[in-house]
Amino acid sequence: MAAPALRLHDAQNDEARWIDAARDGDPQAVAWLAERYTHTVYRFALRMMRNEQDAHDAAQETMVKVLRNLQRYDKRWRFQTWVLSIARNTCIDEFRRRKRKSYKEAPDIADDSPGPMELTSRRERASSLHTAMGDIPPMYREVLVLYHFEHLKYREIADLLDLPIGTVMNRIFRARKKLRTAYQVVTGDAAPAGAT
Amino acid sequence: MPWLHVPDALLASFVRGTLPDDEASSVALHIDDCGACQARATSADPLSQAFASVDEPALPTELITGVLARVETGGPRLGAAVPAAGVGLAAAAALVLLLVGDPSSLLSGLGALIRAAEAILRAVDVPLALITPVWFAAAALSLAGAAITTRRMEGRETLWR
Ligand SMILES: [Zn+2]
Repeated sequence: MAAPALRLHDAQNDEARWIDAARDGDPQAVAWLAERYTHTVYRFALRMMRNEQDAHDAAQETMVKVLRNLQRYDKRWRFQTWVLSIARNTCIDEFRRRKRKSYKEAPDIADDSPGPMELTSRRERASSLHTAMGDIPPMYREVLVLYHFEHLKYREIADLLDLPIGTVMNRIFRARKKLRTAYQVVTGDAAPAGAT
Repeated sequence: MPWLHVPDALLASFVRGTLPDDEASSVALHIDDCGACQARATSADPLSQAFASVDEPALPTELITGVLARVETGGPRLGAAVPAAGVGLAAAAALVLLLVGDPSSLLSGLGALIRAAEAILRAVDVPLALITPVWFAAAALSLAGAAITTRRMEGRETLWR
C-alpha cells in the first residue's frame, strides 16, 4: 500500500512514465500524450490566433513538434509549460508566415457582440470579454491567457517567456488595465463585475 | 517577508497593480505556492471572475487523429544513413582538398556552407539526429582548416628566418 505522501505525486509520476515510454517510441504513450495535450494547445492557439482554422493548424503543428522532439524535453520544466512554449513559438511563426501585423487582424470568432443593454448573462459577459481580449495587443493577451485560462504560475510564465518575474508581473498588470478599458468600450459601461 | 499570508491591504494593492516591482514579485511568488492566498487574490480580482465565466472551446474532432497520423508517418527516418552522410561530407571535402592548392580557404568556405545548411535544417525543424552529424562535419572541417592554416603559417615563419 502506497504512503499518502507518495500517492500525492502519483499523477505526476504517471505522466513522467508516459513521457519516458513515448520517448522510447511506445505508440500507446504517444497517443496518451496527444490525447492529454492537444486540447490545451488548441485552446491556447485559438485564444491567441482568434480563428478556428489558424488555431487548428497551429495546434496540429505544435503537437507534431512536441511528439517528434520528446528527446529535447528538459524535465526541470513542467511538461505543460514546455508544450505551451512550443505552441507559443508556433503561433508566432504561423502569424509571421501569414504576414499579419497583429493577431487581432485575424477574423474574430465572436464578432456579433451584443450592445450594452443586453449584457446580463454569463454568456454575454464571456462574449464581451472575448471581444475585449481581441482588442488588446498580443503580448498582453498572451500573459492573460497563460495566467487566467491555462492557470500557469507567475514563475512558470516567467520561465516560458524567458523574462524576470518582475517584468512578467508588470506586463500582467498593464494587460489587466488594458483589458478593463477594452471591456468598458465593448460593453459601453462598467468593467466586469464593477472592476475599477 | 514579515507576513505568513499576504495581508488584505497588500493583496488589494497587488490586485490593482499598484505595488512596486520587488514587492509585487514577492507577493506573486507567495501566491504561486499558497492556495489560500491565490483564492483570496482571485476573489478580489473582478477580471478573474469574468475569465471564469468563459467556456472551454470544443476540440475539433479530427485534430488528435490528424496529429497521430502525421507523427506515425514521421519526418525523414534516416537512421544509420545520417552519420554516414556526415562522414561522407567530410570525406568528399578531404578529396577536394587533395585536388586544390589552397586547402584552408576552401575548408573555411565549406565549413560556412555546412553551417548555413544546418541553420536551414533547424529552421524547418529537422530532428536533432540529422543536425548533429552535420554539425560535427562542419566542426571537423573547420578544425582541419585551422590546423592546415597554422602549419602553413609555421612554414612561412621558417622561411622568414
Ligand atoms: Zn498565503
